[in-house]
Amino acid sequence: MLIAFFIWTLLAIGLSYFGKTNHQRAVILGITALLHVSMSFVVLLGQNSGMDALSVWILVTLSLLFGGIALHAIGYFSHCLKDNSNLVVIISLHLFLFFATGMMMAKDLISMWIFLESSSLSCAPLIYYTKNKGSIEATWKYLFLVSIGILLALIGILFLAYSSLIANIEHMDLDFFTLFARAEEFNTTWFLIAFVFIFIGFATKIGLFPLHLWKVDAYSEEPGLFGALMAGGMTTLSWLAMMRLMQIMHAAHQEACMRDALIVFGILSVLFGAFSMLKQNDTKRLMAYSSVEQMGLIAIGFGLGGAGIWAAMYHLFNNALLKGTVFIALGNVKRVFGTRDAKGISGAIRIMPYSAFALLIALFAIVGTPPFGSFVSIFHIIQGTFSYSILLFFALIFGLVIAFFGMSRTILGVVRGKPPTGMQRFHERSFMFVSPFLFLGIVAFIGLYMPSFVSQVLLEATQLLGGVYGGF
Amino acid sequence: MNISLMNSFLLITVLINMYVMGSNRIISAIRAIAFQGVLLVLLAFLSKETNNTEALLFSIIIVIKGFVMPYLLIRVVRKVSIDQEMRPLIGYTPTLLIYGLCVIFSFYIATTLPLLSEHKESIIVPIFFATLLGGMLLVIARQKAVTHVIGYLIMENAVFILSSMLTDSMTFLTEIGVLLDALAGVFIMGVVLNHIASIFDDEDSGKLLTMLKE
Repeated sequence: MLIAFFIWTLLAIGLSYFGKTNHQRAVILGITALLHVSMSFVVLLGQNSGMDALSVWILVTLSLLFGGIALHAIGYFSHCLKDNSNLVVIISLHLFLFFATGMMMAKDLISMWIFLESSSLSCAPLIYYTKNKGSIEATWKYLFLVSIGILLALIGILFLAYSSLIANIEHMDLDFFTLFARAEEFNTTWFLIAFVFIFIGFATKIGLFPLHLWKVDAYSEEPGLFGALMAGGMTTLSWLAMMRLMQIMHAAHQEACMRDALIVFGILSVLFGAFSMLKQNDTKRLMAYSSVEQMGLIAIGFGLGGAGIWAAMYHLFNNALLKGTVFIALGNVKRVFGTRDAKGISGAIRIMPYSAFALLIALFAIVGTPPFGSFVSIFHIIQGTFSYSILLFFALIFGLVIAFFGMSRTILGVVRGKPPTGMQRFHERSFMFVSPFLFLGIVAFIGLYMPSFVSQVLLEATQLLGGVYGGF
Repeated sequence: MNISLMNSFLLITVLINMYVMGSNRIISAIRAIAFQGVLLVLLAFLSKETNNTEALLFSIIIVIKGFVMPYLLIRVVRKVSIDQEMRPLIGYTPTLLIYGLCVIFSFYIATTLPLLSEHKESIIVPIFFATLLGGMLLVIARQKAVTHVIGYLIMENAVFILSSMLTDSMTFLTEIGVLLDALAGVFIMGVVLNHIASIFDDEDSGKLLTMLKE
């Protein structure tokens, strides 16, 4: 099944090379996404795929997000952008999905690293799609910072191998199975140095403060739907790598230092993201800072351990789909109003009611309003901080409140008010708002009723990291 | 290969780093780094027994590190540059002084770390740290995007030293990984640099290939 998918992806890349119009190529992408979604559902329903629960959870998250984005892409490339050839980006999207799926199947640290590196490189053409000065600068920043980060992660992985050599462990290919079984015997000095390097490398990829510098430019310069993929999918994928590190630290009984690091980076990211949002008028930059803040929230969840891990894992899913909604909706708004600057946008609800409505609902979902799944996950993370340390609790609440103010000030300004004079109501095509509402629907549904096969995978994934069930 | 020969190879590596820090010509720095890359591949190749596949892999890495990457980068520089200077943020002499301290520091750390018995005689571990720090220093101390790539390549060479320290435990896959990294990352960077060169117009040429805002 997975093999069939890989063969199809390669075939699809070939087909899109020969595809004549943007529309044809986008349809090929749609077919790939459909196959991927159905494949991940078969895996979710318990077909033995050789993946562990962590991979399955990330696979389903990424697959749903990618499906929605591909659906949007069909309309986007058929109606809006017919001239700017999408050959390169369609191939990049295929490659991204290919490498991402490969990374979930990886059985050892080195091949996981190779897939992570390849998938992040295949995102570079997406940022460069509009081909202007701003986008090339963003591409350069992204490429350079992420490459350095991931190089540091590789150095860390090699240190890990060295630490196993010093401990006289023979035939160490760094495969997860042996790694988890024997991590305790590793030489501690080298093990901890390795941890620092790998942590910094993956944190760069995730975009935790102060390693988030590539994020803001990259998300704001690329078209909305690619922003959706990177803010929702790329970060989720990077968290998979971070979770593998957590597993290793857990196996070596060294998780205390990892937890401290996650909490410190997490709370700094939440506060920094929140304060940056306060004065941000550029809608997409606003959402990039929101992504920094949400990543911080997830890091805190993982750092808390226990039920926090469950909540963080759950929040990964919610965050991915909500970021998908927001970036696609903002992309629509930008296309109609011609600007990303919130000062030039108002009254979107009268001009383009569907997209504006999706944006409004997504705003409430992101800050954690019931009945959305994000309410459950954010609530449990906050609850966890309360029993961890009262100081952390207040800092987190403070950060979330500031973030709420910053985000709602800009987004409500965009949605409400009088439209600029002379602007007519825009006829929204259905493709523009189907995916955002689909994402919102899934997040709301899973918040109200989580099917047992979903909660089962979530629980198993949590237990792999040493966490416990945290639901109501 | 005996230890003293290996150590002299490694010393040349650090000397090349110092040459790059002190030189103000981008093209000669790129050539020096390419030479460093080839040198390190030869070191890894000579210090162990290899089979045919590995020999092939090594020669591919030599072609990429020694010829393809410098060719790409030099082409970019030639295409755009009226001025081929490094544009230091930190001057040449201070950079060299800081780097000297970095090298001393690397030797100090290596004495405090537990090492494999075959690495106790050789200076491979301190040289690895010195090269890594050298790459980072160059990224910080120079302004142009091309010089950042040079810094990145030095870091990449450091990774190569590290992976050749481990060749007994995990051979093939690691080297494929490093190869992929070297190839794809720098290749895409080269492509982007080429685009930067063609997008920015002539009046920008002074600023050309510098990292812009922020």
